[in-house]
Parts: sequence; structure tokens; C-alpha cells
Amino acid sequence: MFIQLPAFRGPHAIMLASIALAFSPFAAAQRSTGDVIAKLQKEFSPTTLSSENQRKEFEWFREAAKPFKGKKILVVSETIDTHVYESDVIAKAFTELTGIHVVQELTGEDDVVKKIETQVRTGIHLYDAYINDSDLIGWHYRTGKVVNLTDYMAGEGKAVTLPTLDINDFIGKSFATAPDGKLYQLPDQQFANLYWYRKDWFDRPDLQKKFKDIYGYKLDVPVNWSAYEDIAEFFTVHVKEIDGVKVFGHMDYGKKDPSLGWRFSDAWLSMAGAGDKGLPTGLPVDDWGIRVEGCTPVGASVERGGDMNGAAAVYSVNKFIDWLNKYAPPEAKQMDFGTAGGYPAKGQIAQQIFWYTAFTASMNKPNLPVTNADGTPKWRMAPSPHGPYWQKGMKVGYQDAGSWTLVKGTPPDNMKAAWLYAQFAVSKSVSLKKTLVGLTPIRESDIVSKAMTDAAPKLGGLVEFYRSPARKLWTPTFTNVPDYPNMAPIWWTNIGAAIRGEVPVQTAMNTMAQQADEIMEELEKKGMHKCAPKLNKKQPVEFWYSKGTAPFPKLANEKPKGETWSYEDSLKSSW
Amino acid sequence: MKTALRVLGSVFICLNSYAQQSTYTLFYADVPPFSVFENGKPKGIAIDVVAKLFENAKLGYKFQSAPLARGMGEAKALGFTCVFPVQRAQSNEAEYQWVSPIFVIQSGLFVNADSAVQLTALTDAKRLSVGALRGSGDADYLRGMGFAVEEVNSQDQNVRKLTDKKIDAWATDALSAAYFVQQSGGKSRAFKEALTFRKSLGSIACNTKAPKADMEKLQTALDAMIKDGTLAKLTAKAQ
Repeated sequence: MFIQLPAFRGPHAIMLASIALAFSPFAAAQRSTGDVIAKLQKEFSPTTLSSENQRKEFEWFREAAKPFKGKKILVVSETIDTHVYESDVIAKAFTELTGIHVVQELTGEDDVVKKIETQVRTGIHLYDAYINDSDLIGWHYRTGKVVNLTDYMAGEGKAVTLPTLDINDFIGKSFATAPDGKLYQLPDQQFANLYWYRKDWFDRPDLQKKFKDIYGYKLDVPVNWSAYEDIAEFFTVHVKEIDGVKVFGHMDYGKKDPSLGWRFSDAWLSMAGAGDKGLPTGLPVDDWGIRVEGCTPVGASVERGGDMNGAAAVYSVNKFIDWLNKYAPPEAKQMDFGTAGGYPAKGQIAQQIFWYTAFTASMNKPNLPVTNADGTPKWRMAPSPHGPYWQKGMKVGYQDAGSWTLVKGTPPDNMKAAWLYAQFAVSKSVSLKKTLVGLTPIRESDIVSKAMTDAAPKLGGLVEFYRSPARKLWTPTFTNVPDYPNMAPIWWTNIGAAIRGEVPVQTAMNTMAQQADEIMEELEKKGMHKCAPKLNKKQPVEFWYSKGTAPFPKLANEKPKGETWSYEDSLKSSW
Repeated sequence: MKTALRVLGSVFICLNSYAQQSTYTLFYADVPPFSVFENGKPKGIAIDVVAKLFENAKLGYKFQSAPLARGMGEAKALGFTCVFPVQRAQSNEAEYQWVSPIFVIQSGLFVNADSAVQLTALTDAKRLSVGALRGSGDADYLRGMGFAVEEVNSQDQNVRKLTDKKIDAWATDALSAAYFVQQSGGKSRAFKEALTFRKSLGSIACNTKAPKADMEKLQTALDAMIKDGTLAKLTAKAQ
């Protein structure tokens, strides 16, 4: 389609064409196959494959890419360490191997969402592939505009599908699988949201004694939000300084921008206990507070049987605001996902309840205040504590996989070339090295590798988390959300207003739930390719309380006694 | 397209049949070839698209030229005010309501025709001296990627600097590159695009308190213009 402004055209176009040959970016591809593959084997080491099998995979890519040699493709992803490595190293290696020139643009996650939404909505061909969170699977499935990869691999894309791709090796396969059992996205990087804390501080006898004296129990990994709150208060109010440095018992971010939305839509409500028991997300009410019947969303507001503005949801946002104001560094209120992510590495933060493991790589660099001289971390990641509404059997936290997504209408050869690059970036030949650089594992074979065992002491619990079957308790937004791009803004706009004190939290959540219902009502009217919402009638709240599922009424006591456990016990019992 | 150019301050009012409704003030920056004040009138691809869009949405409007920084400030502060063309991005998403995309921009690094520079990935260009328009989205983006960008106040200066080999590469969108090379009257040599590095959505940014119904009208009208090919025709003039 049309509105893309032209590539460099005009009076110099002919000259450009002739020059392009002389300065072809594919010049390196004229090296002998052996030279290029030897270079790639050096870069992508270690690998779980034998040297021979890695060489064979590279040869397969080179052969399969021949019809597309000279083609330029454009893909886009968010800016995290894993994707920086892809953009800087993996894309170049693929170009050198295949002659397909890949540009992997890095941008903000919300920009990625806006761009794929624009391509799907308008049909304008913006990118040949997206690395898009599997959180959008519910929308992808329902629009019918995203390529069903299961069918593509068996049909049109068969000749360009890596025989050794081994889909079952992907730990996030279920995240990217729709209710029809088909794969719509291919995981590229995966990270969870865990509890992060300074184990060296928690282990200090003087701080242990002081905490016990004040709160009556042991300073350790918090099991519940009450303990988290006590520890936050302890470090910010009572400890104040460690070794001459101002310290804080909590870290978060509060700037009103799209990334504030993820802070809540990434399972924060369910960590407090909103929604129901059941995995990967609560049934019948999920971690966004959306009630579903089968694959049909039927309401988000309490009066329609949802829990987006229920007692647990309101409690969770109140706690967020309270802790941000009382216990976090003052500048945190103006920070976003990107600026806050690496903040604990400065050495002033004692704990963080909502910490993305995607920032692991930025926390274990040598010479940081949070790293020992031998390169081991002073910190640990541990299971997330849960709020008073939480019940055993509910998801424990959030985990998602940024995943390759192909949009229908992309020129077929571009799609094939992009699919080849996507598979290259996650192939067994490449993925272990990528995992060691970006620390966002996607393959079981990588997680159990010796290289990961060797790296584990420096990763603060990341390997232990991913080797545990309990990692399945951390799950993505999943398939219930019918229109992620248009529903995501209601989170940061409404909760952002509450954080700034413009409206009470209950009002903000009521508005948000109402807006969610309105969006779903509109989708119901317009219709969707599959599983369109069909809203419940409004009912008095008692009607829903009597069902024995979410929404549940407000607890009389939202602060039970604080409870902690040792790091070792937290691993045994939760992971 | 964010830039701080001279204040023109000219107002071009399109009092159409919808003038009895609230009239939107539409700030546009002097960023040729997208929008420019010339011979007493606003001109350019973006002007054509936005005028047609407001006509189709049946909303009254008046154009006012101003540096983009001022236009963005006005659109942030005043109701019934918008600014264009602005690159919609996560960093400014919360500050406006958006109508998008009025066009798609593809940015690249342009080098002299005889340059030996060979780029496969953006990171390869970090060893080069790269020039860009001060305050432009491209300059911001490259700085965010760790580049030491040499910023100047006009694209003419970038053309001259590249021609005189005072910079190795010029970061801009493909259309601007073609336009300014043409404007140089053949004095500059031919340039070539050494690397495409991003796409961005040219958009209209409106005040957050502007009626949501108006924003929906505009977005619906824009989607229709994309679907029926109107936008293609308007932007084809640039090709």
C-alpha cells in the first residue's frame, strides 16, 4: 500500500542504483561458505548442538535463503539487551550467511504495539515481522490478521521452516498458542517478574536484630505483602543509611506513560489476589479481572462478573501508591519502565517486589555496587510475595515471551525471508549464546545446559527459577484479552490519574472497568474473527459474590501478620 | 520532525461550512517538504493530508505555522488545538490524543556517492560522524542508541556538511534527503542510502481535552482515506 513515503528517489536514482552494487552490503556473503560458517561458529559458542550439527543448521539456512538473496527485510522489537544483541550481532551474522539484509529496529515496547496495530488496522505494510509480546495472543487470534504459524510451517512456509526448529523445546510455547491449539507466535525471548532483594543486607546480623526487635519476626524473603511492607518501612524509615549511603526499602516507577500500564496489567492485580484460581490464568476471572466463559469474555466490571474494580484490585493499587510515596526514592515517581529497570544496580535499594528478570544482565556487570569482587551478585531473585486476597492455586506472577509475529498481507517473499531470520535468531545454533548475553531463556535445552550451570552462580537465582517446574506459576496475560492494543491504554491513563491524586483509586478502577466493558461491547457489536466478547447483564454485586468465585468482597483485615522465609526455603517451597 | 525553526506566526484560516462548530487550531512546523509556509499559504504533503482529513471529518480548522516545540506546547496546553507532523512515540504518547498515521517515514543514513562506508547494522555506524537536524526524531533516536550526533539547525547545513565531507553520514528520512539534494540545485553530489534504520508514524497530536468524539471522527476519516486510496493519491505527489 501507499502512504509510505518513497525510498530515496528523484534525479539521482539511477546513480544510486549503480553505486549500490559497488557498495553492496552483501559483499561479505561472497566469502566461502566455510569461512562464513567458521566465523559464525566462533561467535555462537557455546551451543547445545555438536559442532557438526551447528554447521549443518547454518548450511540449511544458507541454502533455504538462496531464493531471497539480496532482499532487504525490516523487523522491529523493543529495546532490551537480548534484542540489542540480535540487532547488532545476530542480524549481521544472518546477512553474512544468507545475503538477506536484515534491519532489526529497536524501539519502545509501546511503539511496537502501536506499529503492529497500525499494520493490522490499515493494511499498510510497515514491517516484515514483529517481535511482539505473547500478551497480544488473544487479539491476534481474534482478529484473524496474524499468520497461524502451525499452518504456515506445514504449508506455504514449509520450504523455509527449519527442520530442527524443535517447537516443543520452547518453554513459552503455550504462551503463544491460541484456543484453537495452533501456534501464532514463536518465542524469541522470555522473562518473568520476580522479587529482587539485597541478600547481603538481609543477612547482616545487626540488621537482622534490629528488624526482629521492631517487627517481631525474622528479616528474610517476604511471603506476603505485609512482610514486604514492613521490610520497606524498615530500610527507608529505620535503617536509612548503610555504609554511608542513603538506602530505600522499595523501588518502583510512577510516570504516567504506557509503561505504567504494564506495571499493573502484568498480573499485579492477581498478585494481590484479584481473580480466580487456575492456570495459566484464573478461571472464570483472569488476572486482568476479565470474566470468561469458554473463550468468550463476558465482563470486566464487578457488576458484570469481572474483578477489575473489585476489592483486591483496589487494594493492589492503593498499596502501589502508598509504597511509592512512602518508601521509594523520590525520583521514582517520575521514572518509567526503562529508567527504573536498572536503578537497583546503583546500590541503594534493599528490595523490589515487581522486578523484571529482563534486567538481570544489567545487574551482574563487574564493578557494580551490587556485585561482589568475584563477579557473584550481592542480590537474589526470589518468588514474588502475594497479597491478602491471594489463594493457593492462583498464578504467582507474570511471565511473558516476546515472540515473532507475522502479519497477513506481508509480501510472501518478505514473509519467508523474515521467517528465516526469526528462526535463525531462536535456532539451537544461536539461542544458547543469545541466552547467555541477554539472560532471557526460551529453550529447555539451553536451560539444562552445562553453560547455564556454569553461569548460575553469577545470575542470582535465574537458572534455578527456570529449571524449576514452578516457573509455570508465572504466566502471561494470555488469551482472554480480546483487544490488547486498545485496552492497554485504559490501565495507565486511569491508574496514572489515581497516582497523581486526581481521582480516588476506587473511582479510577471503576472508570477503567467501565471502559473495558465499553471496548468489549463495541467488539461484540462489530464482531471478531473468533471468540468475540459477549457481555453479561449488569447484576447487583451480591449476585456475583454468591457464586463462590471472583469477585470477592473486601476483607475485614487487609494486613495479616508479616511472614518471611529463608531464601533456601522459598526455592524449595515455591519453585 | 521535531525541530526548532524560525517563528513564522502566520495564520491560514480555512473557514469552511463547519465554522459554526469549535474550530481547531492546527500548528504545523516548517519542515519541508512535509509542511512549509510559502507565498502566503501553507503547503506540503502533510498540509494536503490534514486539510482533506478535517474536511472529511467535517471539523472546522485553521492552520498556524510555528516552530514545532511551540506548536507542541500549545497543543499540550490548549483545547481544540493540534500539531503536526509529529512522530508518535512511547515517550510522548501520554501527552496528547493521536490521529495516526498521516504518513509513514523511513529513515536512513545517507553518505556521499563515493563513500567507502559499508553498513550492515546500525551499530556499524557508531564509528562515523553522523549529522542530523537538531531536535529531530532521528537525532533523538540515534542519541538514544549511543551515537554522538552532530546536530545543526537546518537540513541545508547537513547537505553542505556531507558534500564537504565534514560528516560521514546524514541521518534523515528518504523524502527529505531527496528534497534537499534537489534544492541544492545540483551543487551537491549524489548521495546514497547506506542503511535504513527505522520507520516512524507521522501523526497529528491533539490536546488531551479535545472531544473524544472529534478524535474518533478524525481517525475514522483517516482510516477511510487509507482504505479508499485518497491518502495514496495525496502522498504520491511527493514521489
